[in-house]
Amino acid sequence: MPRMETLPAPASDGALVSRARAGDFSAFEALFERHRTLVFRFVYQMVGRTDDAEDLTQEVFVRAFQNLGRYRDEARFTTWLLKIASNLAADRARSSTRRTALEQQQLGEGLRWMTESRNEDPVENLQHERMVEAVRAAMASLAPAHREVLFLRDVEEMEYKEVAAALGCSPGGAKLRALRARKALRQRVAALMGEEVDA
Amino acid sequence: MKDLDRVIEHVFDGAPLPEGADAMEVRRLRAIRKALKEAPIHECRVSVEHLRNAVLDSASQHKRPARSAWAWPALLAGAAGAWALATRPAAEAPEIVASRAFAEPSLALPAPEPEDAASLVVPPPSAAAAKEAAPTPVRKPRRERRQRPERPVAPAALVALRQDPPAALREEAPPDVPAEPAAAPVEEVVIVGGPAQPAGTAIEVGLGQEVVFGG
Repeated sequence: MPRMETLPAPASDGALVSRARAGDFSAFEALFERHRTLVFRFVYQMVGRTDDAEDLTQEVFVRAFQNLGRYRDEARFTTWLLKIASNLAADRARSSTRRTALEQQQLGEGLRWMTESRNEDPVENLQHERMVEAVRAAMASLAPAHREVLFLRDVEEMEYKEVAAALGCSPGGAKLRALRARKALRQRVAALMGEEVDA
Repeated sequence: MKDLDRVIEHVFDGAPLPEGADAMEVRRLRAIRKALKEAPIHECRVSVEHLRNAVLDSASQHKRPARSAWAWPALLAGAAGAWALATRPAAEAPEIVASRAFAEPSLALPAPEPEDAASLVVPPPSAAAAKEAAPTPVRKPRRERRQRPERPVAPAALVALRQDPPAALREEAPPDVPAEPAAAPVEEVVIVGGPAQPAGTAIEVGLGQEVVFGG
């Protein structure tokens, strides 16, 4: 009779944090591997440049490593990470000068992926690509607070409670911020698409 | 605008579609939401090695957390095993501990034999480390510290009584105690019942003291 071997269930974030606190650095590496893409995508929305986003991603995990003792288990580890990321990205935005030209160049590089076809209908493809391009440009022009909440809620599909924890506000405040951000996004996308919408 | 808010909540949060909603608006918002979710996924090129180097750099700059409840050098040393932690000198610098933690396995210190492991004793923390690990005394918030218990307010009748006591109370009140006059300087000493003594004679007055008359 063949022996059935079951793969061990992946350790939870809480278990990995406990191991890391006990001195197991490989546990922290596992946390890093698990969440680095989320953190990177989040900070990329904030800074708009790949190299800056990578620097910030690394800094987020270094800070998390140094402050692992302050992490409270009642919050999700990802929420805690994103809060660190939000604070660091805000600091970076305050301390750095605007590099509009480079950001636009980076934005153009980031849009290359859009040339891939997703549909058999070339007209629909074109419309969709235009929309995605407009959304990307509109996102880059939004206020950081709006970009944060749109990423957490509408891209990562986090619950309002988690969004609120990451942004340091109440769930109601997060919901209101998301509504305002979506309306701002809609206005800018419509302008980029050459549409006329009601204010 | 309330209708737009409800349409946005319908498209993005799954709220019920409001009656009479603009179909064009719904389509536009759905397209935006779809495009938003298809954000480009850049490859994060930060690796574990980058993270290790960054942690080492931060350790070399002594960016250790203050008043942290756990000792992060212990975490760094954990990568090299408990043996390295147990045998390291107490005053070892953090960067040395960190570099040892991330040393290649071939360069790491040899693991102890099982029978030797039991004899290993982790050295007690130094006084500075114990002070750092000690919990910080909790101070009350400033607002709480400033609060004082309110003084009881005397009734109006009692206040009036203090200001204008009746005659009976005034008579019964104890008279003012005069201040004790200051002691006058001693000008002469009279010895009652004693024999006359010539000037310059020292007599014993008790407790080993002597007084010299006329000296």
